[in-house]
Amino acid sequence: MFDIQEKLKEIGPYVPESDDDLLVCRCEEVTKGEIRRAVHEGITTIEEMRRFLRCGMGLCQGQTCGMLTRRLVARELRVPQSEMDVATSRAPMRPVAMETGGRDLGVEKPAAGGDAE
Amino acid sequence: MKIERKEFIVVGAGPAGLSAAIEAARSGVSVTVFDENARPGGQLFKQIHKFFGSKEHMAKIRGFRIGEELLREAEEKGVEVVLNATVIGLYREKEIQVQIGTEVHHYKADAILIATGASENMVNFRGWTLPGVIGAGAAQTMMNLYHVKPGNRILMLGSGNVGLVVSYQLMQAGCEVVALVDAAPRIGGYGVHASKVARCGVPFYLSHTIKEAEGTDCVRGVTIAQIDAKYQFIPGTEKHFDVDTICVAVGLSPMTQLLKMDGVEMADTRGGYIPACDETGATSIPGIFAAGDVAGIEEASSAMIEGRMSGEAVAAYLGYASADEKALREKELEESLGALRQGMFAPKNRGKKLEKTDEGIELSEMLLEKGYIGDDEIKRFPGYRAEIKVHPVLECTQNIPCNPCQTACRKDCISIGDNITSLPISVKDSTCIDCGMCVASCSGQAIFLVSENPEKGTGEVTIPYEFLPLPEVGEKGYGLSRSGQRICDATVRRVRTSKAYDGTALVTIEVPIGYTDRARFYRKADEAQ
Amino acid sequence: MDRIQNHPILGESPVGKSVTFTYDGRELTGYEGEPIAMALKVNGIMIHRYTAKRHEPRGIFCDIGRCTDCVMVVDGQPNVRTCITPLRAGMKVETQYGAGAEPFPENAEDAMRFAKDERGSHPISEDAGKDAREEKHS
Repeated sequence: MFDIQEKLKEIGPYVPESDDDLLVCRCEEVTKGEIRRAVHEGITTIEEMRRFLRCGMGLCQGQTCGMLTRRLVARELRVPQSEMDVATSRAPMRPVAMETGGRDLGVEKPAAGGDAE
Repeated sequence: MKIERKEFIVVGAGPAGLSAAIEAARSGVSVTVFDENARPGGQLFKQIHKFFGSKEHMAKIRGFRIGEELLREAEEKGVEVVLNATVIGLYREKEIQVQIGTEVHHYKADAILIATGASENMVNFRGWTLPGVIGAGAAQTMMNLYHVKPGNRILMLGSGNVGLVVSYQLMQAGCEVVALVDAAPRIGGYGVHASKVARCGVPFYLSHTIKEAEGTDCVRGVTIAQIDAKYQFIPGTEKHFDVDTICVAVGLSPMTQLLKMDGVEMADTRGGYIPACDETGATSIPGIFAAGDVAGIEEASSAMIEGRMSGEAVAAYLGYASADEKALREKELEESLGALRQGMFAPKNRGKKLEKTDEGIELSEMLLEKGYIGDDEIKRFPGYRAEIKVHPVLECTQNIPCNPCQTACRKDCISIGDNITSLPISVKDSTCIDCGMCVASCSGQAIFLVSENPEKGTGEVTIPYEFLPLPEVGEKGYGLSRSGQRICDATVRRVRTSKAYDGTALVTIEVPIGYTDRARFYRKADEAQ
Repeated sequence: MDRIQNHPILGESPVGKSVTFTYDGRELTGYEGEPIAMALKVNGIMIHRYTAKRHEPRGIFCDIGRCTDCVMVVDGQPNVRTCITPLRAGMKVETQYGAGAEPFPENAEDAMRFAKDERGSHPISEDAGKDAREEKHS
């Protein structure tokens, strides 16, 4: 990894680009400009970027934008893409309704089930 | 709290997963396959083209038929396939979490194979979120699974095998493909796939990409432009097309989330971000295996062998096969896989710019940049031969792993040899009996039967034809060049269909004698080009 | 978009059982069991939803349940992936605005005019909202 302060000095300030309004994350509607700007504000990992801008945190869980974001952040940081982390994978891997998640047969539950409140 | 026990769980009922399940079940392992889709087979049922390889790789058989065969075999071996079952988590101690209907189930197994395949890569351009911009996989799903046209006028972005194959399939479904565009300076997929698209008249724009998808409610048009070496648009090179659909085929990425979540060691490679595993797919966690595209993007043919290797390794891991048995079967499968991984498009050659074939013949630059071989270029390849009586011309000019043409010909007119990536040779002084089996067996539709009748001043060209309606005998039309341009008048002399040809019709056209080396497609007179 | 009648490799397309469903109040027909998205497509419907922030139209994108762009409100339940959800007779399919079936102000006029034209009665947004609430209580 790199020293963030040194890196921010190296890459200099955020310079707008003509296509900064292009969407990268389709689900959460996060633009290229927002992601680029965030890099210059010190967000240098995909994990932080997800929490900061919510890109890759929507319904599809970064299925479409994961690679685009990784490439974009790497470019902005001037590091090879292979040096960028990838988003942590967590269950559920596909969108699951809360109601269904509540019917998890592998989890100990009160006898009455979800209806008892 | 309920956790069900299973012996061997496979996640994904595609080519790799099913092959692994069959192989393991053959050794006596009890196998359960979970798949999130309503029907098994993964992407195989969307593959309506004939596969490459040799007989052991099920070459010249169409993908969906291979899928049917795998399903039949899995059933015969007693493999349990659970559909509409989405694996949403993989945890330590080989526990998986599966959504079935509106419940979440937990299972534990002694071994788990992840065969989740890949997801499509995307590029973002202005307008890329408009309805009508779709993945190439989406187009295949609509037309080949649900029999719905993806669009009327379509632009394809991406010239890899997926982009090329889907472009052709779009035309088979009755759509018009207005252009095939790629940011790379050279076509990424097999030349033979490009040529069958090019001869239908589809223009290729290499070193071009999409500038904007136009429309407010959905796609109404698209503008492409040329890019320089730094991927910047070159002003003034814009071209507009009226389209209702834009298809994106810019590569695949392994769908590794489950493996990552389980803590399997990963590696960044040319084949994508993939689990570090040995040739049997064994990952860094004992008992967790990976096979198929999730372990590195390749063709379905390779995925099936990888799956078999993993299945065999799992059988050995679980004590169903001895080390010797495993080693023996592994060697056999490795050789089979090795054969597929040779040639110009082998994993080891990814990203390399090759100049010559293995035989030392200069590659066709036109083929790589425009999608078709130059009329003069074809003569330097061993598949070309000039003769008056009927003979095969094999326009197969790149080293790809494929050899059905050699076995299709019973008269030894075609020779490839033992190395399946060698260029096919049209054997001199051999006697072609005009049976057409080679034409129909060529997965790349690159074989033509050619003859001349000097007294009449005409010649005949037999072409593979996979469109509807079929031309009728006696019908008048045009001979199209390799680039899809009208070059001469043509009369349909013969139309052959046969079960042995498996959906490929053989259309014989009569053309003026000078055009037998140039006419490579046919279009009816009243059809717009 | 048209259904393919006859295909050079796949042969004649199977004809499914025709069922009726509603799309934003309008009665449409499709084949039972085919994905909702396919039934909409053959009826010429491209827009499945409008996004929450930019209010932009979206439709089918990946068609295999991964990208979640084709989600709509189905029988009162939002975020239903229409590309992998089979069509059933009598289904109520609605355009999704953000996370619900209530049209955005700029779409409301269109939606209302449309609802009046097709059904001659209530604006669609009211109905949709009511159904969603009922669903929650059940």
